[in-house]
Amino acid sequence: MKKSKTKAAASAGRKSSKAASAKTALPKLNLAEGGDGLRQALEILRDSSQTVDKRLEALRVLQSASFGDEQFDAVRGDFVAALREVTEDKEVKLRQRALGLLARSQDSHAEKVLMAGLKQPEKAVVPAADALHYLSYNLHSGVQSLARSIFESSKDQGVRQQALRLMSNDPQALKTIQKTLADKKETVEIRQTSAEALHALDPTAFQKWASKAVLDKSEHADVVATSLTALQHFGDAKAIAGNSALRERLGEITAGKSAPKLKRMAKMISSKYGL
Amino acid sequence: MIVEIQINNSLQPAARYVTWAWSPCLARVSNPAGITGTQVAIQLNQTALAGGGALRFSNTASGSGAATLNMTLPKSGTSVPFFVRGTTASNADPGVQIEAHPASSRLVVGSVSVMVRIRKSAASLTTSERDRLVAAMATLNNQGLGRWADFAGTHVQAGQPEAHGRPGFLPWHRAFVLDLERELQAIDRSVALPYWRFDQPAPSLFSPDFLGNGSFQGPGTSAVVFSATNPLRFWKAGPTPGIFRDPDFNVNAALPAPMSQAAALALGNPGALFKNFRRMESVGPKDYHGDAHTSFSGPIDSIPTAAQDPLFFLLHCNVDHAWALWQKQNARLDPATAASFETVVPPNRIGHNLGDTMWPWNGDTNPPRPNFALGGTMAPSPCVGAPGPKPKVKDVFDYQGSVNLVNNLGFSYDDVPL
Repeated sequence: MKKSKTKAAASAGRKSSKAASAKTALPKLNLAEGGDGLRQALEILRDSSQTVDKRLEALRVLQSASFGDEQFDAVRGDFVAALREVTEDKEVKLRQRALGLLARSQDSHAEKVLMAGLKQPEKAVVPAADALHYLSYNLHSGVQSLARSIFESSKDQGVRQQALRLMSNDPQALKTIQKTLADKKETVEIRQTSAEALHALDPTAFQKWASKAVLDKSEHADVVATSLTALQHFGDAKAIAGNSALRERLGEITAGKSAPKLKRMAKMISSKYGL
Repeated sequence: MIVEIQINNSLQPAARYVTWAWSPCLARVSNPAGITGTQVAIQLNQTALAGGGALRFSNTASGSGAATLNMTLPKSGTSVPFFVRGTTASNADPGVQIEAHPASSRLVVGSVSVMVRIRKSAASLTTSERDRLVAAMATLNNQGLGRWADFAGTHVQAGQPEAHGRPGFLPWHRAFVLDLERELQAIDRSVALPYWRFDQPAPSLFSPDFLGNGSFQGPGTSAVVFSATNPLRFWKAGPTPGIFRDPDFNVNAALPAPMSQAAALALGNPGALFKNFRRMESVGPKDYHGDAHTSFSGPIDSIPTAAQDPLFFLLHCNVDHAWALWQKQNARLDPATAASFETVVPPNRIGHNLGDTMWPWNGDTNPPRPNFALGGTMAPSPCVGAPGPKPKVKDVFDYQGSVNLVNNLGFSYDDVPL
């Protein structure tokens, strides 16, 4: 384990599990009342000699039972223990599933494993973007303070996007988010994630920025569309109605040669706010 | 002469929505100018508008009704009751105009527009229906500050015994989905919550313009990708913005080897018993409800976080759709019919018996209920009175008022007749 932790390995694991997902991989489980089907599923999940598809299928049976099967309460503790074991498994897909499930219930073992991987990449059991995402379910896990430095140092777009999402809870990250949003050298995806982060952190600041972006004729069409979407659905009616430059620009977009989606949105905003 | 028409016994525009169920209506002469004698004969008929749809009228809340209705209205202005129901769903508001004519002419002396608002398969929505739903969801979420947070915060582990693993699973989730739908309708009256049929392909549902799809980030993180024009890209229901959902199946197809709807409906056999049918919740290895949740990696795959994802409500709308189909097929709409529910001695846990009120709408935070109850009472409807602010389990069975019109909850499914 801890050898095939790259994204390529992750993708490969995913493809293989998808290809096999149509197969009924499990032996017949006795899931009737009083049966030992859930314990059987736990054994398969833990058993590294089984195929990954069988183990994922066993995990799905257990997860499904966790929704409502009264018998699940009897194995709940063992289920958590099995998931913790699987966080160290050789199969990345199983590690991801287990860590995701545990992190969503703010499991301290999972958080420790994930934090260790972020601080010392050689210890990482899942890609950094995943670790950031899983840790985001507990903002008190210490991940918040790491997000800004990871954002600044990483070249990985997925990691940077996930760091931006975490930074949306951090008032000290406001300037970095605003700078990233305004930086036309950043990719559209990073800028759009910055827009979402700023909208969450400071909706008023984002509304102001979105109005300016719409006025900027050199702005990327997708960034303009994202800005128009925010104005249309979350805009301050008074501020928008009183913005004559915006009104004029929306008229230009509607009448000009802009992409059809921009024209449609400009028209809808004008109609909504009586411009 | 002017004739005033009330839909759902109300003059409010917000009440002008009908389903397959009979809606009680009133007609009266509001201006008698030109009427000779003490009464006037009129005819109600209908004209399809841009939103489409079709209606049936009747003097009573029974039978199949007719496309027109002849009525006699007193000149005095006294209201005369009639009933209207939809037979073809609208896809926008307004859908159909009801017009009143004197029996002897085509002159329109009164009119009102209605929408036949029906829950449909998500895969069948028009672009406009999709966009209105998505916009209403985004508004209700309001970057994590809106009412959605109450829904996400209710479907958590502490609430699990109220809603899962026992006979109240289906009634509780029917109420939960209805409450959410009514909140969406308070934002946009034309919205009906669609259902996601797990056993059929729904590629349009998992697209960037609807509930999002794909990620260049690889497995695990899986923030779904939205188009620049989709307001759900600003979603926040968990600690960070974004919706995280990594499908384990090809979203252009149905779930791999799912329990089919037909198989789910057959779970009640033998005897078409509710206690058997409710096993669709989580009896594996392949089950109808649990398998849909666990076909993804992400918040939707576990109880504490599932309702953070808007897909949760389309998934549960389909679970409810299956229950509605099963109820119709087996005449299990009346909770007084033993096989419609699972009544046992000693009683089920509180919240799972027909006469129990349901948490959180009852506001009960005394043990064994959870020590919190978010969101207040059930959202009211301008169209119907049921199930009331603090619904009991038994209040959500007769959802179209088939047994008793007062039970009508104000929703219908496109393929489940009255």
